[in-house]
Amino acid sequence: MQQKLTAGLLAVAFLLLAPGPGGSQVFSGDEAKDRVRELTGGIHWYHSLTQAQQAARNGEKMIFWVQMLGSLDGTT
Amino acid sequence: MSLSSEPAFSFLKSNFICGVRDITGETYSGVSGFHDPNGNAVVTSNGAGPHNVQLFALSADGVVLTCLPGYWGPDDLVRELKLAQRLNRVWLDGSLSRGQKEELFRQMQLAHIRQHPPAMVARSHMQGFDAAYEAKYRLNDTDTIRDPSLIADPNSGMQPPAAFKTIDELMHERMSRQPFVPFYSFNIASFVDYGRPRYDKEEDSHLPTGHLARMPDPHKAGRRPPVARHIDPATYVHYYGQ
Repeated sequence: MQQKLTAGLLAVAFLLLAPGPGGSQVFSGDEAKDRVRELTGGIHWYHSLTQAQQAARNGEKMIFWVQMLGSLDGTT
Repeated sequence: MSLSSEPAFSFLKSNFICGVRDITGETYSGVSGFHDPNGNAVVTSNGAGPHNVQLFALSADGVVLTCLPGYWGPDDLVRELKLAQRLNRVWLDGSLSRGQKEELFRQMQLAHIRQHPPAMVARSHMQGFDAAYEAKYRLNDTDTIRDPSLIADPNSGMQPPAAFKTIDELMHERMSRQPFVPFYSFNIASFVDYGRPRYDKEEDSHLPTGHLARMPDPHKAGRRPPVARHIDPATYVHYYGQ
C-alpha cells in the first residue's frame, strides 16, 4: 500500500515537472506535492472513461486521459 | 511534463475533459521503485517511463487521436494536443470517407515529426538504460534503432544516442499505424514497448543540481524523409495548413 502510494506520488511528480534540454533537474518532495494539489484542485478528474465521454459530449470537448501507476493524489 | 505548469494546465482546463486511471497490474505496465513520499523528484526527458505513464487525447466518442508514452514537458505536450485537436476535426468531418480519414491521420502524424523544433527533439532522447536494453535484446527486431551500424557492441551498456530514434519521432511513427482506433481496441502494449519495464531514477541519490544526460545530435535527428501525400492536396492543407 505504502509502496503503491509513494510510486503514485513519484509518478505525479514527474507529471508535474518539465524536463530541461540540459538533462536532469531535482525538485523537492514538498514542491511536487504542492503541484499535485494545484492539479487535483484546479481540474476535475474523472475516473470512469464512460463518464468522461458523456461529459465530453455534453461539453463538446475532447478527452485527456492519463494512465499511470498509482493515482494523481497518491491516495490509492 | 507538467500538467500543473503553463501552458499545459490552462490548455487542459479550457479544452479537455480530464480523466485518470491506475494501471497497476496491467500486463503492459511497469514497476516503479520505492520512493519516500517526501523524497525528491527528478525531471526527465520526453518519453521516459512509457510503461508507467501514458497520456491519451481522445475524441468525445473515445477514439484515440494521440498517445504520449511516459513523461512530457508542458510545451511539447501542448504542441501534441494541438495536433490532436486537428485530428479530431478530421474525425468529425462527415464529408470524408473512413479511408480518407485514416490516410490523413497517417500523413498528419508523420508530418508532425518534421514540425518538432530542435529543442523538443533534444528533450526526447531515449534514456540510456532503455537504449542499452533495446540494443542488447532487440537489435534486429526493433523500430527504435535508426542506424544499427553505429552500435559496435550491443552488450556494451552505454550506446551512441545517434543510433536511436528520438521518442518524439518513434511516437508518431507508431501512432500512424493505429489510425482512429477506439480506446479499448488500441494496442497499448505494442505502443509503449521500448526500453526496460522497470523505471526508477533513484531520485534521492541525486545532487540538487541533478546530472547532465547525453543529448542526441539534433542535426542528424532532423534529417527525416518527406511524407508522401496520397490525398487531395486541398483537403490536406485544410487540416494541416501546409
